[in-house]
Amino acid sequence: MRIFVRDITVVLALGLSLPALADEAAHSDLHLYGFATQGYVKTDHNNFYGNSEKGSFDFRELGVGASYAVTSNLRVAGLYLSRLAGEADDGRGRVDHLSADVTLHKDASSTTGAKIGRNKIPFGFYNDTRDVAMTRPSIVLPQGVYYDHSRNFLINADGIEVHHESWSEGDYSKLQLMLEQPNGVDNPQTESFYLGANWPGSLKSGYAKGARWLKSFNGERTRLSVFLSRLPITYERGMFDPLQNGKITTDASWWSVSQDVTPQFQVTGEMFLTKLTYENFGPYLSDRTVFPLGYYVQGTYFASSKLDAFLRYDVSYKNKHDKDGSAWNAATGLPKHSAFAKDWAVGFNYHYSSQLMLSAELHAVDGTAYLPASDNLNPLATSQKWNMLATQITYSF
Amino acid sequence: MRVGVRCLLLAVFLVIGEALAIPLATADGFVVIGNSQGAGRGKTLTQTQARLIFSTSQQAWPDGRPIQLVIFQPGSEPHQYFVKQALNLYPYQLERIWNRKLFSGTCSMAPIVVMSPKEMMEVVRRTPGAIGYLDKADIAPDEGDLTVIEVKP
Repeated sequence: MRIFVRDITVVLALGLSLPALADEAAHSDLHLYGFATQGYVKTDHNNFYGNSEKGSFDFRELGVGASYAVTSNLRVAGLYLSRLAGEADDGRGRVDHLSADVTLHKDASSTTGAKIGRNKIPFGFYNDTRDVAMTRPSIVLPQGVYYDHSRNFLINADGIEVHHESWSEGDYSKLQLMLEQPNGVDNPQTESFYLGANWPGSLKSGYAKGARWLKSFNGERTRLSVFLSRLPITYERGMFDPLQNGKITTDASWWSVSQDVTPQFQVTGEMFLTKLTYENFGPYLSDRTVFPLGYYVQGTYFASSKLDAFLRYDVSYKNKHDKDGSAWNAATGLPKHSAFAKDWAVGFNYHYSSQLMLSAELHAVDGTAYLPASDNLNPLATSQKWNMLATQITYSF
Repeated sequence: MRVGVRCLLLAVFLVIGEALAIPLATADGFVVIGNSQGAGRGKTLTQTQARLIFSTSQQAWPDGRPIQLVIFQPGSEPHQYFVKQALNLYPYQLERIWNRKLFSGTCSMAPIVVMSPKEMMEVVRRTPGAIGYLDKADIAPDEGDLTVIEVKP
């Protein structure tokens, strides 16, 4: 809590002094920026971002960042973030990203460079800024594609990313190749995601290889993104551990498309396709391959200079070959409905000013696959059908 | 929950009410201006090209010089009019694009923010590669290094 209070003080201090600093920085190569977000979540059953059945304010995001052009070919940028999300995230401050971006080549139609340090993992349209409210289309990102219950290892990674951008006549493309070690693998949340529970042993991440291709046509009216990656993880057994030393290989892909149908109406769809391969865990967890699947379709209406609104259908399956959860229930004894979630959501963002945004959304959900285990300690007590109201206010500078 | 839903509905009505009460004025007096070192002289842009430049996706002019955006404050009327009129975007859509680059650490060049038409003229004139916008009426006769860029729909 002390850390948290300190974080608020830092953010407030920077926020108050920033207009003056920003003016001075406007013509220089240093840029400072940040945001503060407070949410409120109410559910009729089950908990999301805290004890939401009673109404929860335990959703808060604070960030301060800086970007500095050391030379015309070297830029350093970083963001310090504190995120509170019920029992799943405790608000402790951490380095969200911090890297040196070296330009290796640039000409009239392209630029090539390398980012070294702690980089965001750029899957889908939103992951690399998922904790920054004014860059999200909604308060809760579509969970079929952007898991929150097991998000730790999807946020950032340490290593190198080589990127190439090019543009011509209204089209733009960006290719990113990554060799990085993801952070946030060795923790109970990620272990629950992979192994169904927090076992005595620990997970260790190897170096992940990833590639992302982003393409936009026609002045960003059509956008495509593909992200492919392979992440090797080893499990080292602990004391009195029923599991043996094992290996999990994650082959993950995200496929995204967005189209402006009219200047005011946009359709976006994204899909998450994964293969998890388990080897050598012993008789308790036989060698197997599991295929999680998630996708969503969203229509967004840009109603005015103040308001946009959306309608979305978002689906998550823990295993696409066991959509109703029968096999999951037989193997684990957990409810069938914890193997899937089908979420209808409707909401809006009200842009009060360029710095202040208010948002609200309603979710009607069938299934509990994306509920955070830490906020719902007894999975047998969760309800298959539940509704959620989420509201949020965010300030940025 | 019922209280929450009522609050939400009230908020929706208030928001829609206010949003509809503020139509975006259609100012047609704004023109794109550029520094002739970079933008060149007698240049025209399509709206699609202008969107790519103002979204910071296109980062260099055909002569290879880096593009530097110059804008009025994002909340100001000139900025709102220009973004809607020339780019056919609401300002928050453009800011979302900028913020995604800024907060992911991939920002190549942040816009210079100016406070007055006079400052806009000065900054664009003295910054090679700069591109900004102005009300036609505010362009001084002595253009110097300034070039007016026609944006075609």
